[in-house]
Amino acid sequence: MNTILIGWVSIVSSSLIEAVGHLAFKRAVDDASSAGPLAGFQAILRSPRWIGFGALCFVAEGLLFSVSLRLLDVSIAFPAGALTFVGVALFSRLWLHEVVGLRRWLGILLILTGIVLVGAN
Amino acid sequence: MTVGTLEMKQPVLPHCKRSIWLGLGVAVALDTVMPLVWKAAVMRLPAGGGLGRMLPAVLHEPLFALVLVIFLTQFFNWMTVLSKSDVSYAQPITALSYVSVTALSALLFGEHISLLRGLGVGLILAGVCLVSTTPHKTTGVPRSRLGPEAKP
Repeated sequence: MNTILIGWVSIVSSSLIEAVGHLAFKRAVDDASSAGPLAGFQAILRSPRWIGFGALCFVAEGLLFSVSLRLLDVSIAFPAGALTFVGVALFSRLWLHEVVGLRRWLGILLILTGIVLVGAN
Repeated sequence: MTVGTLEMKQPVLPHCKRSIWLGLGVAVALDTVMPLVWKAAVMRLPAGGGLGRMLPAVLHEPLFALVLVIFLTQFFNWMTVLSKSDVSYAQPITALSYVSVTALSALLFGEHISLLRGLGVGLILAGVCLVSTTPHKTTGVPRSRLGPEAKP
């Protein structure tokens, strides 16, 4: 019972932390002076903190996901990981003020349902 | 001033969108291959032994170098995509890797795809289609943090 709860806490936090990682990388690349293949290098040079923070998020996500895989069934952990998609949409709207319209939300909802079906069996 | 901004924007968009999709294709392909290479690399490590035995083995295994190369390519490609599009546009589209992994496991390993799983793949494709029809980049939102580089 307790292990399942810990498993769920780790999978949910792993998904949300991954979403934050994506946001941090996006925030860093917004500081790059050009859009294109050089953007990654410029982001590292101009916003090393956001890149570092983002990388840290992805490492933490990997660790937490591994923990959840040990405690939960793959058929639960895998679809639950898709929570990242909701996190990215929500946080990018709140923090980066991206316009996430009804159509995009609907698309994300379909993707989420699809992943649950693919992962659950 | 306004005319100049408009002139700059118009021709850039279609080309930009094509290159975003190229980047998304690369991202999905790398997402698909990465777990396979990683797994293969891990399987070649000696069983058991502490960190003292593991670390040199990792350094001598060329497949781990490949994992690193894929990681770096993934990072710079992803940053290129993000420099041209919203993260809430690009990230959901990478869900296509679930489709490619399912298709690949059926084609290469003859894995059976159940009806529910097929339905899931269909829903993911529909969702990606829907997201792809939304504007790929938020425009006209004042972002104070852009500071002096923001357009006047």
